[in-house]
Amino acid sequence: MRKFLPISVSFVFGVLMFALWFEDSESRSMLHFTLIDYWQIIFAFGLLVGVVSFISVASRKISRGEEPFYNGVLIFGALLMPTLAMIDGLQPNSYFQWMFENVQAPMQSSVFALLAFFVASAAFRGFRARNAQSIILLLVALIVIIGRAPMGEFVWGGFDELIQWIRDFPSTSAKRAVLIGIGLGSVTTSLRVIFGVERTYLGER
Amino acid sequence: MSDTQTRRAQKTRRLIFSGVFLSITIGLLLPFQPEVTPSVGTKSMFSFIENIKPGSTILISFDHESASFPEMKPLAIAVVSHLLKRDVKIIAISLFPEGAGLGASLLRRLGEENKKTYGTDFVFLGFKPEPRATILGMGKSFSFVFPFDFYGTKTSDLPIMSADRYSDVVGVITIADGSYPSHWIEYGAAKYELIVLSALAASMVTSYDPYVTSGQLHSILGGLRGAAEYESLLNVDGGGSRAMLAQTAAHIFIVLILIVGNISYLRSRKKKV
Amino acid sequence: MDITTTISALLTLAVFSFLYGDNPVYKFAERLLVGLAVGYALVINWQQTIIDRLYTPLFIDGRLALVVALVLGLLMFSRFKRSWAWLSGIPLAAMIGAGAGAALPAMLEARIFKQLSATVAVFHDASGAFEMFSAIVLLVGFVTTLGYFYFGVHRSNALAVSSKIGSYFLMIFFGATFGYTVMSRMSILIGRLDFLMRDWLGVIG
Repeated sequence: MRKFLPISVSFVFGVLMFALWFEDSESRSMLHFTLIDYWQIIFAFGLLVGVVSFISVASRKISRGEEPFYNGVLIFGALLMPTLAMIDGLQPNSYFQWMFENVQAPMQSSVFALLAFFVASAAFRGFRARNAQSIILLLVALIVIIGRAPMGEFVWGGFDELIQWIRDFPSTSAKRAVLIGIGLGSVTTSLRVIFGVERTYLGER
Repeated sequence: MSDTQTRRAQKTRRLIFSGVFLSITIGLLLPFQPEVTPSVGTKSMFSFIENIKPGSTILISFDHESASFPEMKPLAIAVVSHLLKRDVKIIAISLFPEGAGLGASLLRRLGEENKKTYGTDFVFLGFKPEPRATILGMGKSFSFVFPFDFYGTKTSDLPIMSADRYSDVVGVITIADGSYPSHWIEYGAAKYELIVLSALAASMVTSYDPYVTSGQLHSILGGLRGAAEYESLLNVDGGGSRAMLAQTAAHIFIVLILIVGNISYLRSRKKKV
Repeated sequence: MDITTTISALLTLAVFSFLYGDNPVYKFAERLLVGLAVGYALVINWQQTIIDRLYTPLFIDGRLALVVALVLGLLMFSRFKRSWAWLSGIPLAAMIGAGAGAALPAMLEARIFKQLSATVAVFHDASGAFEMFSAIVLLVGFVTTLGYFYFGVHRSNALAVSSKIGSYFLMIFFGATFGYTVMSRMSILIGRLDFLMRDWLGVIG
């Protein structure tokens, strides 16, 4: 029962979604709407479970005396946003939107901006011409970095065309092979899920 | 690693960090903007929007997070400004929760600047979870997936929502920093023949090239340089053009450290031999 | 220099302080960011999905089919009680099954057939010698990269040579991607430094 029920549900949802792909794109069947509804609502509940789990882990850490101040900041942040939203909703000039635009977003992009420093550091230490492969990697990277710099065209006028050719042919050929590989993998995994062979999501190894 | 080696590695790292910081700072401080020549992708996006009939409706999806906002914002400003100037109506959504907050305020500001009316000329519907379900559901009805807009107004009460499915819009422009354009291609374009265009973070450009050459993706407007190119075509300032000298300076610095790194590597290899 | 800009700027500097090393100011900013991000996702998800797509249609418009979605969604919370945890496998199976069913035709069509046909179509469009050369580069790159990922059989000499060539094409793709990634990361840092110098300090006009 503990395995049969989820596997049956997965089979039914999988087969129905597969069949609906071939439905006339102009028709508006109730079944289609219902399935999409279920899919999104369950997903939303999944996110809620994540939030509850996040807060309970942080609270447990506080009660165990593990970094109580920092874990308190975590919980404070998580509770602050819903509180602000309850005051004046998601309107353009609301407290919630202010907090998002002036506190959360700048910090998040600053964290990402740190990567610029680490990319430079990694380029210095990692991009060494050790063998044929790494020489190719280094050369193409240099062409792109110089050529796509806004003043690259002063160095050589043909950079744009060369980079476009690299992107359209040799680079695309490799990425296309990767895409098809992933596509084949996804098809296989999808079939395994629908027919109940793949059960790792149920905790089976 | 010995103490001396660790100290030397740390010193090198700090030197590189300082170099990155200084090159960008100097680039920003100098009052000079290098000219940029529009690339194939930029011209393709520009001419697509230029050829849309005024009064038509387009879908925009803010598929990015605030982490990459400094790069995505100039791209979004360039594309949205062009659409509004061409009197194209915009229905906007987001497949990321954070894209909702970013898209909502950007669209409102540009809408007001261009004297457009919310609900008639543009609308922001917000976010729904599970991108594949959102895209597939919207193929049948936008107002089914988004019964209310981001601010809680019933979508059926908004005049712009007379466009309710993909066949009512000229296409979708996904302003993205990750893998979501592939969902638009694989579900929106493959199932509903939706025309997909993209304004991408530079780091994603090469991943989507195969879709452009196969005709599944109409065009790629790529990165801050793409935004600067678009600004030069459109004659607006969205922040891309004024960053181009700093971008050049940063690239020169990276080229220098790649060269220095390889020279020191070759020298150390010679010593070992 | 208004207070809002100053708050954003100080938080940006707090994040950048990580470049010197892990420190309490960075730790505070990082935890606040994570907390706010969780709270933000909770609010958006709650308002835009749970209220707009479940509560209003079910309890106000009376769409009874959504009772099933509500029950499935609530089952996700059974994870928190060990003896009931298996029940959360049912909504999980629905979500994964739906994803697998939709992915099957999408992957076959968009990733496999379309990409394969594009590789061949280049030969039809090739009008001159250079276009034909580029088309051959594309085909060779595609086939050899696929060969590089073919682990099923013992590698004969021919396959070893082919996969070696494939690895060169992969390096071209990685090199180009690295070049563009450098561009991307620098752009984000430029954005943050531009904010500090223009909007906060006002040293740029």
